[in-house]
Amino acid sequence: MPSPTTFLAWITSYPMGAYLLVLALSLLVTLVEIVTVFEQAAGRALRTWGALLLLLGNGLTSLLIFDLIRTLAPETPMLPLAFTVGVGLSALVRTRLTLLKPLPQLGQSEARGLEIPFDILYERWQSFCRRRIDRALAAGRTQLVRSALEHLTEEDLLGELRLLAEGGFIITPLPGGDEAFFERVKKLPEERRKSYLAFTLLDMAGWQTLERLLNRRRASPAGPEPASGNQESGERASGQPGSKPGA
Amino acid sequence: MAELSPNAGNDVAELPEEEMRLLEALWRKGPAVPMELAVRTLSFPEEIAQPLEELEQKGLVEVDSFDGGAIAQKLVFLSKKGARMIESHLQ
Repeated sequence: MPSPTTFLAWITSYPMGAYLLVLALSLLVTLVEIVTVFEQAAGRALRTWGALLLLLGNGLTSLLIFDLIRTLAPETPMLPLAFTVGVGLSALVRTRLTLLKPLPQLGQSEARGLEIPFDILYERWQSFCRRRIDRALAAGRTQLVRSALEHLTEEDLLGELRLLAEGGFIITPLPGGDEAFFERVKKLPEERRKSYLAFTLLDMAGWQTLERLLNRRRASPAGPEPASGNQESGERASGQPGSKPGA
Repeated sequence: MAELSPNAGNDVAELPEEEMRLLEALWRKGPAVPMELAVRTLSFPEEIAQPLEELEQKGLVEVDSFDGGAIAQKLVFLSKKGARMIESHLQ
């Protein structure tokens, strides 16, 4: 087995290998950026068009920069250059390249130079992609809540929240604790109560908990199943809103 | 470095608590539909409607239309100004 250094030296001895290395490093850095920003939903964030755009954009930019440097300075050693461009792309594009900086005029402390605002361009590009990721994640969450409204009863949701509360998981730091929360929820209009509970469960316990409840309901359709698309009928089927699960 | 607005971070103390909580919720967990924001701030949707409108008028949040069916028609984002303000407050 060749050592990593030997392998890298070998791969960069071929021009295509060096390009692949730049691309791989750039994609890795972008992946890490996405995962750290969307820590709670990294997997779902990576499966969005926004993430794909960001990965492709950063990958192509790093390849272009690498190619440009190779063309302008062909004697630059390949391996260090591939690492610098692949890993350092995000640092490079966050800088402001000053092409021309004239001497300051009388009465001015500093003259304004001719700059290429890579930082602003990159920030806009990132914001564009990030907004698409955010929208896709929000669409996923609302879709999950819509499924919960369709397939789960109010008691299913309340029961899970009560389990969390009884398990010591603090749902709310409101004065009066979790019971005060459950009392307040009862005061919500019926049509909003169930979606509020579903969003609460999603926010407090996470995506997996709501999905698990849905899967359990689908696996055992014997329970009170709300009519499709009608959340109010689910509440009627489950009895008194806000009553204890299993009571 | 992007240039900061000269007024950035100056009005933090003037924001009502509910507006500050909404900004903080957006900053900590990202964009959200109004119902989610209500959950995150331990409020009810009706209670956050007015503060949210105020924040939008102040340019601290941006509200996009959103196709979330009957449960969400808007998606709320933290604006750059709002992010700078809440960051300066939390630091």
